[in-house]
Amino acid sequence: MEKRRYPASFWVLLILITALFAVAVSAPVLAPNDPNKSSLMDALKGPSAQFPLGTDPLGRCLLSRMLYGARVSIFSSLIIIAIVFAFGTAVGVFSGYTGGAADMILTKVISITQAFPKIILAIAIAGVLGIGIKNTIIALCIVEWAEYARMARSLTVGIKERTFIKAARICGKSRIDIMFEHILPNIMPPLIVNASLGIASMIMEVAALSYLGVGVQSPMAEWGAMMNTGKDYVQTNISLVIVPGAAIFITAVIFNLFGEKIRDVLETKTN
Amino acid sequence: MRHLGTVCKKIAISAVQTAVILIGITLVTFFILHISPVNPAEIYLMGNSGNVGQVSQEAIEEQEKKMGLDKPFIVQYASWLNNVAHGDLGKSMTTSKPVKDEIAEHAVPTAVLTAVSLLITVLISVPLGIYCAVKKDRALDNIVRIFSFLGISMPSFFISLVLLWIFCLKLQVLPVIAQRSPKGMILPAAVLIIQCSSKYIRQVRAVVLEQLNQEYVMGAAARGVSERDILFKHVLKNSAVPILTWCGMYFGIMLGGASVIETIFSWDGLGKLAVESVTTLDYYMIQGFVLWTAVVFLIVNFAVDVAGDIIDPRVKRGRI
Repeated sequence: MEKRRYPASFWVLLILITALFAVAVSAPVLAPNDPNKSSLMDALKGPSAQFPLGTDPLGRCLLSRMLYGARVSIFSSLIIIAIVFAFGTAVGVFSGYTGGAADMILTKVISITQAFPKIILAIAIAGVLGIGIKNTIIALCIVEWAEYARMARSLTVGIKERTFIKAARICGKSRIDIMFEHILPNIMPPLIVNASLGIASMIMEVAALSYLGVGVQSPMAEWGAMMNTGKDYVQTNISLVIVPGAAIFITAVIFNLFGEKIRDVLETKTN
Repeated sequence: MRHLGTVCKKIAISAVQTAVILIGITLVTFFILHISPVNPAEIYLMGNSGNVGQVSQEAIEEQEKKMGLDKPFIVQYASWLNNVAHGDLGKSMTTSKPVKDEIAEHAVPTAVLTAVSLLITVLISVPLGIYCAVKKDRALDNIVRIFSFLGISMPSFFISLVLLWIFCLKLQVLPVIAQRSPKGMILPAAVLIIQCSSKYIRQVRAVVLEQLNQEYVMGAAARGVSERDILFKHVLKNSAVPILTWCGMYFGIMLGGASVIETIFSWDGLGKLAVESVTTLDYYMIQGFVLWTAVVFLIVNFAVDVAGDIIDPRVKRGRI
């Protein structure tokens, strides 16, 4: 097997992603202030030595909230992607390889899920389960898995009639063995690319739910929720919007670039 | 005659599938609302005033009976479905107006916004995507790639708030609250266009690029077919179906109402209505909205399928 070649830019991005994680994990060390400590005396202040990026309407340190927000945004979207990737792939491979009635039913379930207005369904679910980061994750998982299942299914259908699968069947391999040992490894690269490109959009969807007020519960620091607070102060204090917005933007850029790099690496390998 | 038979069969199959999907979607929505801890009868009685605790238990029970909420879940759903079959979507719990009228009223601004945004998105993305694929790695391709990359890395509410700040507050050239005026539409449309074009350009570029790398292109070039003919007669024809499919997808998404954008710019369309209905748990309104988006989704999918058959006969042969 030919050894994979990783370009230098891949390593740079990997370092940047590690740095993001480092920031998220070590927020308690890096943050200059308690992110939830409010003091109305310090409300809406500009940058100062004590508050490097200024304060929000409740006098909470903007920089500290941004750093703590990284944890919620990055980890929750990674959890969601991990769950929908695993579940969606399992459903898709099973449905595609088994075929017949099971496939028909599962395809309908996938279509139904995809025909929902995503953000509205997520709001409704979050509204029913109650507001909070755990329920946001559940809501987005319920909405998002179908896309991954559909992709895994169509990739499985695409290869299941190939000779090597037939050969494995003739050799008497069980269905589960074929799915795990032959189908999964062969359809993995495009699925991984899709999942890694999905991280950034998931960060934005978590933020969108919080922005609409159904994501995290206050006073938890989260980038979308911070922008929700900031939107009423656009006129006087645009930094309340810019700081969390820039945080989302930079994180999304890094994850998107990383996803594209993974695609390049995997595609040159398969070609 | 055989052809007619297959067409009829196909229509029958897709009609059944459509019905299954619509029933599935509304059943799930109904179920989600059903398990919600909030009582719609209580919401109905309190209206918008929010006089918590002032409604007696008897009144709530009476209202529940009136709304049919005392019946088992499946009976409730069946009677709702029966009403829908007769063209009655129920009444909004907050405004008491028929859901049908509310949706029809709010669909107009959303449809206008969709028409303008989608038209401009297509006019920008398709030619630019094709151009970038053909002139890969040239200056314009790189610039477009950078901008579309930035576009997909920014959430819509961030773009919206920044544009709002620049144009409405700093430059004061546009109204903060959109109302239903062409001037008020500029910003919501701009955000939609930025978001969708960023994705669409990349998709068009990727598809055309994939076709350009196929062996038939090399073959045609070897036979001396001009570059122009290769592009317009072969490559674009082969790329048309996926390009059209995405266009249909954006159409469906936009017609469903861009909730976040409409809310920020107070554009009184379906997206804003949907967010409001969900936050007040307006059962019938939410059901009506979900039905609307599902129908739009299915019609768009069907239209794209049919158009695909016409453009690319291979798709048809593969399916029938």
